Amino acid sequence: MLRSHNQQELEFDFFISFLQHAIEGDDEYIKLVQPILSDVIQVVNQEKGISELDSVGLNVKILLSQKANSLFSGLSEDKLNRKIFNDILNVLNENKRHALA
Amino acid sequence: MDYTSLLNLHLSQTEIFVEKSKNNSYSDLDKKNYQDNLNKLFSAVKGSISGLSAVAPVFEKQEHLSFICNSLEFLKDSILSSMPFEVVNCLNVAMNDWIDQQYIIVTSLNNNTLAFSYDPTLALEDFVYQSIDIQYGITFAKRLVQINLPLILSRDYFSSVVLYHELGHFIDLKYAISKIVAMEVQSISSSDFIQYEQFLVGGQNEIDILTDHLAEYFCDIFAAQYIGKSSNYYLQYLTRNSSNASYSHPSTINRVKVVNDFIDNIDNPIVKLIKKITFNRSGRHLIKRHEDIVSDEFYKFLPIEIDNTAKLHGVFAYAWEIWLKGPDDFKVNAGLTGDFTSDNAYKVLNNLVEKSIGNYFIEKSWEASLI
Repeated sequence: MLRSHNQQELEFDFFISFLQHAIEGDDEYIKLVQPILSDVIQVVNQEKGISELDSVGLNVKILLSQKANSLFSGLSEDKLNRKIFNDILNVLNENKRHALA
Repeated sequence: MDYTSLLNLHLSQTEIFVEKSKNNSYSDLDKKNYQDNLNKLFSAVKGSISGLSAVAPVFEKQEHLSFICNSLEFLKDSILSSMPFEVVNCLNVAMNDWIDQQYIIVTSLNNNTLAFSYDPTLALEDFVYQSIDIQYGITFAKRLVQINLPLILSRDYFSSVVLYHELGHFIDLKYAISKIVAMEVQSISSSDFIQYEQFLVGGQNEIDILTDHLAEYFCDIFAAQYIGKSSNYYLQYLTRNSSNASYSHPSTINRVKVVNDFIDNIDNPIVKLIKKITFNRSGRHLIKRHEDIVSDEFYKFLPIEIDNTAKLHGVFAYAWEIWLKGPDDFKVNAGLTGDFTSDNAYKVLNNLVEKSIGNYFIEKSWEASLI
């Protein structure tokens, strides 16, 4: 087939696109990425287990909690800003290929 | 590269599909409402595309158009005249045991006789819906659960049992059951892993293989709740009871053992682990959800009178049990004296399953209309 469908890849691509909008300051998209990142913060800070996460954006949450531990460690939801969104975007772009391999 | 011209090509192709689908006639309002929403979405995407050039917006628009085409492909085969009504309604009943009623099962009929599969795109890609909502303010109250099946077998009630397995893939992904089980298996010590080794021959390290194999085990157990061991027979025949695992599937021998152990309540570490995580994730138990029908109605060429959902699902296993005993046994039990071939038995049983299920749903709709 010309193009194989990969749901995981689609999830990453959408989230990356959402983050780009958030970096541009679009409030609607900031509200969209926040609950995903909030879950990652809770997992990294051991307030929540991976098995307790809901399945919305689960692949993104797992990848970020594994590959961006230092970025999220000690972070709280109200500290999320454009600089952090940008750092997260870089982590996703660097690791997406590995996650999908 | 500027993708705008290709996006416009995609738009024109989608428009043809949208136009062709305008006369679709459905048996229920949910599908009609869904298609009306798709038409609104298409107009919104079309209106928003002119002047686009940045990479990110193109990607989302591209996926919105793919969403429309993908939806229409399945809706096209779910119209009144082509949808396998009886089996889809049985799957709906099973689905409602596991999930709130915000999903519509749709089918795509394919020319490949082995084309039983589940496509997760439209039911589970939450980000697509969020993106559509943000960009156009359009929300879909219900989502499509896409099941592929062979056109030629769409009214064959023996092979239809495997559709319960395909529905299982939706439930699995919805609650991320096999993914979480795989992560749990990865986290245990190698000495603890020994108990699972027989079933997870790819080992602990390859998360993708582990997840895929656990997903197949989950779906087999999920289906067995409703159709007992029926899909084992078909699977064993198709794979010649293979003892080889592939990257995506465990061996048939292991799959059959897992189903048999689940049905017969035999202690099995994989079954135990999947049952535990399934309950943790979904709040539902993997249990037997069908009735073992004891009846001689089919031998009298009469449909089974079904008065509950356990019996509804049980009719598939009941037909399989009679089929496996062969046409001579049927002939004796039916008190027939003339020739009665295997083909006769197939047609009679298949027809009686369809009638039994059809009568149940017709009665249900009459009851509903009288309330």
